[in-house]
Amino acid sequence: MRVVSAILEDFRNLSVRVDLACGINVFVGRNGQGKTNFLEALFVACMGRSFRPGRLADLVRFSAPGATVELGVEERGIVTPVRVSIAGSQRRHRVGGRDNCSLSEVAQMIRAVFFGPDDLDLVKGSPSGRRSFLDEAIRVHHPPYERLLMGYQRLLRDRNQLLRDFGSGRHPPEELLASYEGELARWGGQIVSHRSRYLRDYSPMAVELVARHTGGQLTLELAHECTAGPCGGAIEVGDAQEMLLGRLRDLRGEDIRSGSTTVGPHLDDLRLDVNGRAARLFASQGEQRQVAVSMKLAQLALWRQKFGVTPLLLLDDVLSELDSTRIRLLLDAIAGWQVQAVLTTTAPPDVVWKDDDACFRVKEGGICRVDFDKVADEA
Amino acid sequence: MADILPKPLQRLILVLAKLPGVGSRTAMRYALHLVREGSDRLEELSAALDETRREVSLCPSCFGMSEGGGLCPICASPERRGETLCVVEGIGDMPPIESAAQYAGRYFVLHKLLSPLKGVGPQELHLDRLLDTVRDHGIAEVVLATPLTTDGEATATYLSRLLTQEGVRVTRLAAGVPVGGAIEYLDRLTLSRAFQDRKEL
Ligand SMILES: Nc1ncnc2c1ncn2[C@@H]1O[C@H](COP(=O)(O)OP(=O)(O)O)[C@@H](O)[C@H]1O
Ligand SMILES: [Mg+2]
Ligand SMILES: [Zn+2]
Repeated sequence: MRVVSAILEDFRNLSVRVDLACGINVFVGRNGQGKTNFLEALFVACMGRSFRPGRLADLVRFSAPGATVELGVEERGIVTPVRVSIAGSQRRHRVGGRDNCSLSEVAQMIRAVFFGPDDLDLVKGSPSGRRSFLDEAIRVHHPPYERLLMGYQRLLRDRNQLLRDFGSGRHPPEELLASYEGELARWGGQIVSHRSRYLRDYSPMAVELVARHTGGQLTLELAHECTAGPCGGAIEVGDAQEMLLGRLRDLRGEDIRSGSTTVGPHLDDLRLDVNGRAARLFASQGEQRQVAVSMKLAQLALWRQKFGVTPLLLLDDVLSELDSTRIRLLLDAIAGWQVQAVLTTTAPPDVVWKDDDACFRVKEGGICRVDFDKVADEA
Repeated sequence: MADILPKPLQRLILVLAKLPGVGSRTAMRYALHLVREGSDRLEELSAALDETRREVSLCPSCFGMSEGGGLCPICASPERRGETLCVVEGIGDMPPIESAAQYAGRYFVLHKLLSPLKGVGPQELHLDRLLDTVRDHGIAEVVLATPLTTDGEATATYLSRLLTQEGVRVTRLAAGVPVGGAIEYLDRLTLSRAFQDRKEL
């Protein structure tokens, strides 16, 4: 599966037609020209939502009535149009001749993965970003996981309310709190177990890719930091539930004093060490970027193994801090997987391109194909 | 628009709009319809309402619906097995259980589920009455048939703790594969629950 063409109408500042190559497509331009907007158009057409915060209506060119993006998706020589139209707050997908397709129908045709500058937060930011990284990946493999997360959040708020009721002298029966702890542990234990099982499959892949993309210079270690207790390796649901329940009971007194639940998957983290030290604190910005990109590529590799389809790879401005050796290793890895990729940059990296790759110049909402060796001169 | 209507009609519209699923536009449509239909229809409705108000109340034993202030037909029936009690969230849960024709015991209607966030605690579920019923009627088994939502499950868990202390057998409706359902298409949360709840044959 690959995207052969994209036709955009009034999508932000873009109304263009672009024919894409099946390897790496490089979009070069100064800031504010529409590079990220183009990636966003591809992403919205595949996933039905943007990777940027904001409303659907923001995607429509200022003062235009609506926007459309139509991708030509080729599979074994047959090109199927996948078209998304946005008007006001409404989104509609058409696949082939069928209108009003659901997102899961679109997902069967095509998926996209986006890497942006903010992905650095995966390494640098707070634990919540790493939790959502895990949760999002697990959701792809196991859609009902979403309901587990929602149920857990709900029960968490219930227990916190009971803790505050206790704290404020209204005395709900002890048994009531115990019941909610039982429920919380039942749902939370499933989440802990899901995460640990995902990490069992994911970690070796991430470790391997970081090593490969840095020519062995960086060694990544991942550890599931579980507030409920040690959970190296994959932990069974029942064990996770028991562990969590024990901790909830132990911490009840403290939690009543603080008015919140201080143990559970809502506080767990994924610890990342590079060459034996916490990546968040000791790795350079470039190394952090490298780890983040490799970790996301590892997620993608797992999808590939599982679903057999390779998502379209969208890389926004992620090469800027990498030296040319590492950029080449990364691009080689992408080429090696035969993944179609679209990446943006302000200056094209000085590497050897392949026949399957193509270069485009983005200027004031216009996009045209240029030769790799010409683009630097014109910039 | 409603201000140009006579005051009583405006009040009727406001009352109707409190019904579930009825907005102010539908309420106005209903009100105008009743008036247009004439006094017979209004008489009929007001008589039915009046009778309901006078005759229908909560059964003092199970908190289901009863007529004339007495026990409901189920509590009054000598054919119902008196030693099992099925706890449901609402009165609406009883007809389906009845038509499934598997259950011949009695009921207890909670009318609410526990929800600390919404301020619903055990007091709001008149659980003292549930315990009285269990003790006074020598109930041997309580079947918990609250929904499989977070509130329903938490309520069931709390009730089972409470009732086990009374020495009564507590059971929970099984969760799992629907009859006639193919495993392949079953959502995996349900499926994993079905595995947890599997039973010896
Ligand atoms: N809804 C919109 N309609 C028209 N132009 C927009 C809209 N949203 C953003 N833009 C314009 O898009 C440009 C930014 O494009 P972007 O793709 O983020 O730039 P870059 O090339 O740096 O990635 C800005 O000039 C902005 O004014
Ligand atoms: Mg940009
Ligand atoms: Zn009754």
